[in-house]
Amino acid sequence: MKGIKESLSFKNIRGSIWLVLTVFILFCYLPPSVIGSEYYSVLMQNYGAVVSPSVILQDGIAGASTIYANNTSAKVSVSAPKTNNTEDYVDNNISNIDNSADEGTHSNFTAQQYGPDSINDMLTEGGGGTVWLWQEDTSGYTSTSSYETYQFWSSWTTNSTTSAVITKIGIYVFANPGNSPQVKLGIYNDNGGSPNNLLGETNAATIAGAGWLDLDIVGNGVNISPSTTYHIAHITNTAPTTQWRYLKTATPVSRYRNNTVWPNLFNPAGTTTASTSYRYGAYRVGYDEPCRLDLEVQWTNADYNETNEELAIYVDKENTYSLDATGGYMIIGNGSPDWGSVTGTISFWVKMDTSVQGRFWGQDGNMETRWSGTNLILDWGATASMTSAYSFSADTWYFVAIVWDENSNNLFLYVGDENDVPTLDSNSLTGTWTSTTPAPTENRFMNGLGGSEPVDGHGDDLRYWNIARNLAQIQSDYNTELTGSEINLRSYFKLNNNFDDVGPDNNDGSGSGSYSFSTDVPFPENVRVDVWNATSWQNLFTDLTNGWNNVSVSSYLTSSNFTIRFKGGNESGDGVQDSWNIDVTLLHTWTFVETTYDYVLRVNNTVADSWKIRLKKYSDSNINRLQNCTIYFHNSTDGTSGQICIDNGAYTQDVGAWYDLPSFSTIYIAITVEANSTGTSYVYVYLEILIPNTTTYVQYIITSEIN
Amino acid sequence: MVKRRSIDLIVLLLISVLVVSASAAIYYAMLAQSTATISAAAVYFTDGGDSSGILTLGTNDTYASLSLNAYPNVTLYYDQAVNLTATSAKEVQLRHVSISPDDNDPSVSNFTSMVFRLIKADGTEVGTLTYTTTGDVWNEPGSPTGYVAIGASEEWTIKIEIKAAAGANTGVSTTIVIAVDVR
Repeated sequence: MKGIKESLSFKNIRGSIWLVLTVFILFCYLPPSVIGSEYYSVLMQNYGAVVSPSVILQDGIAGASTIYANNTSAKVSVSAPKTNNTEDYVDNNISNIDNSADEGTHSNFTAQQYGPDSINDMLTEGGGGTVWLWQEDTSGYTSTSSYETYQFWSSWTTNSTTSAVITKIGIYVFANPGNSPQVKLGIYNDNGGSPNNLLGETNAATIAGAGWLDLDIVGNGVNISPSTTYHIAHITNTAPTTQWRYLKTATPVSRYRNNTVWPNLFNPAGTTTASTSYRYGAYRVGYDEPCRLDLEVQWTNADYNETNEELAIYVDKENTYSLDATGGYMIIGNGSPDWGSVTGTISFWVKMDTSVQGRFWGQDGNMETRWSGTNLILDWGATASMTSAYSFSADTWYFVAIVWDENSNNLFLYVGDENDVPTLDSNSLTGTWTSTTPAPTENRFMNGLGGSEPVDGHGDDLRYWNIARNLAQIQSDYNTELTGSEINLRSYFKLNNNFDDVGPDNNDGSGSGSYSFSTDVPFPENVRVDVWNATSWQNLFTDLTNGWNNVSVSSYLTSSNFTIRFKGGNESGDGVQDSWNIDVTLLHTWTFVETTYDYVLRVNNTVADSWKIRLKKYSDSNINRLQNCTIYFHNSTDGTSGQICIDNGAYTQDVGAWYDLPSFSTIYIAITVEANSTGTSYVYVYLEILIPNTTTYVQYIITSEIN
Repeated sequence: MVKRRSIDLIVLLLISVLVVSASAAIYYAMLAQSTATISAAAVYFTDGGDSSGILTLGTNDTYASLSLNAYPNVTLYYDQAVNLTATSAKEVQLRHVSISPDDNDPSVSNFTSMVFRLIKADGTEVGTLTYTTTGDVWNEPGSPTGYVAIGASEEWTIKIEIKAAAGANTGVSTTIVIAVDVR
C-alpha cells in the first residue's frame, strides 16, 4: 500500500506526464522532419541517329574551291586582281643627285637587275686609310750623329680652314736602327715659347724598319683649330744606331732638349734652338678616314601612276645568326677534338651581355681563357700564360684571335671590334713563350673546363686553323664568312642557327644548357637605304634583313626618275671596311581592281523540304587590306542577297538576312573583292541552315581565302 | 509547496492541450502529403519551338522521348528541343542516367558530341550536360548540373546540340537518357 501511495505521489505523476510527452513528440514530430520534402524526377530519352545532310555544298566555277568531307564545309580561294603589275629593275648606278661623290664600290651592279639567284652585287665601303693634314719634307738628311739621345720637336701652323680631329702622328725613319728602340710621339699647344700643354700622345712603339712610323693618339684624338700653331715631338728610350735627322731648309726651326730622360716627353723646358741647317725629325699628323658607303642607284623610266608602289630589295647577308648563351655553351664535336697543334690559330667573335665574365674557349685547364679584371688571360701550355693589355667591356662585339707557334715560341693575341680592325695586343709573347699545348679534356666554346664559367652573351664564327696566321691574314677575312674549304682551316662553325662544322674535320657540335640562336651578329654592319624626295634624303630602311625587304614608296615615286642610295650603318669612326651582297633591286608597281567571282560555291538542297539559309561571320585575319569584300547569295529568281560585307577593312555587315532555299533548289555563293595591298586575308563564316518556323539549325563552315 | 504544485499542474495541462492540438495538425498534414502523390507533377515537359516532329510526351508529361538527327562533321542545334513548365516554385537539375550503346561499341565513334543546356525563360543558361566521345568511349558528365530555382508558372527550355563525326555512317544511333530532378 505504501508502494502504491508513493507511486501515485505528485512527483511521480508529474514525471510520468513528462515522459509520455517526450515520447509523443519524438514519434509524432521528428519522423516527418527526417523524411524530408517532395522529390521526384522526370525522364528524358534522347535518340540520336546519324543522317546524311539534306543540304550540301558543291564546287563553283570561279576561283578555287575545296569541298571537305560530307559536303558540309568548304574553302574558297580567290585573288584580289591587279592591273599594270610590273617589276621594274633598277636602271643605273651613275646617279649623283645630291652632288656628293660616291663612296664605296659595286662588284657587279647588273646583278641587281635580275634574280633572286646566287649572283650578287657586293657593295663595299670606301674610305678607310689616313688623311694627312701636314707632313714635313723627307727629301734630305745628314748623318750628323750628335743628337740621338735628345728630345726633338717641330711646329705646325694650320691654315685658315683647317678644322679636324687628328688621331695619328707619324715620324720618318731614315733607316732601320737595328737595336729596336722605342719611340713616343706627342702634340701640344704653342704658348709662344717652349711647348708645355699636352694635347695628346701615342703609346710607345718599337722602331723596326725604315720609312714612316705612324702611331695612334691614345683616346679620341685631338681637335685642331684653324690658324693655330702646334708642336709635334718625339722621344726614344734609347739612342737609335742610325739617324732620322733630315736637312732643314725652311723655318720654323726644330728644337731639341739635351739630356731628356725617357719617357718624360712632354716637359721640354730648358730648350735649345737647333741649328737652322738641320731638323731633327720629320713629322706628319692626320686622321683615320672612316669607312663609308654612299652608292646611289636610279630608275629613269619608272611607272609612277599606280596605286601601289613598293621598293623591293633582296639581300644575302650570309652571317645571319649567332649563338646566344644564357647559362649554356657549345660542345665541339663530342668534346674531344684536339686543337692543340704545334702551330695554330683559334678565332671567334664574342659579346658579353652584361659584364666581363666567363671563359670564351677551352679544351684543357692549361689551354683556355680566363680573366684578370677586364684583361684576358691566355692559359696556354703547362705553366705559360699571357695577360692582355687590351681591356674588355660588356655589350661590345669583340673579335679575338689566339695564335701560337711552338717552333718560334710565339703566343700572340689579336683583338678587334665592329669598328676597329684586329691588332696585335702589346703584351703578346714574341719568342718568349716556351710551352707545349696539352691534349684536350673538354673542347668547349663559351665555357671552360668543368662547365662552371659560361659566358652570358653571344658567340659567333668560331674557327680553328692548324697554322699560326699573321696579322694580314687575320685582317683579310675576320669580318666575312668563309666557305670552310680554305687551306689550313680545319674546323669552322658559322653558328647560323646550327652547330655544323663546315671545315674538313667535320666535328659538328652541340649545345648544352640554356642557349638559343640570335639575329644579333657582329658583321656586317647595318646597311641603310634612303630615298631622294627632290630636296633631301629620307630613310626607308635602317637595316636590310636577309631575303626580301619591301617598303611602300608611293609618296616618293612621283615622277619617272626615282633615286635611292645605300648607306653604311656607321659612317663615323668606322675603321672596318664592310661589304654586303645585294641580289635584286626593283620597283614593284600595280593597281588593284574590283573583281567579282560568280560563283565560288553552290548550296544544293537535295530534298523536298524547304530551308532558310544565311551567312554569319565568326572569325577573320588580315582583313585591313580589303578595300571591298562582299559575299552574297543569288539564284535565278530571288535576286541577290549581300550576306557579309567588308568595306575599307571593317565589317559593315557580319550576318546576312535569311534567304529561302526551296525544295530541290540551288543557291549560288559569289564574292566581290578588291584589296589595297598584297597579302593574304581570311574570312571565316558559318552557313546557317534553318528549318522554317523553328529554331533548329545547322552550321556549316566556309573559309574564304583572299590573296 | 502546495502552491508550487498547482502551478506545475497548470503548466502541464497547458502543454498537454498544445500537444493534442499539434498532433491533430500533424495528422492532417500527413494526410495532405498522401494526397499529393496522386496529383499532377509540379514540373513537367511541354512542347518547345523545335519539338514538332521530334518530341513524344508520356503520361502526365513526365516522360519525354526525342528523336534527333546528327549530321556528320557539323553541329545541329535544337534551340528549344523540349520545354519545362512549373506550376509551383521548385528546384530542378539535369542528371545523367544512362547511355547506349555503351563504351567499346564500334558505333560510338560515329558521334562527336551531344550537349544538353538548361535555359531559363530569360535566356540565361543555368546548367549543361556534355557528352563527348574518345574513340569508342563516351565521356559522360561526372555530376548533375546542380539545383536551380524555377518559379511558379515559368517555362524553361532544354537546348540540344548534336554532332556526328566526319564520315559517320548514316543510320548509326545512340540513346541518352537524362533525368530532370525536381524538389
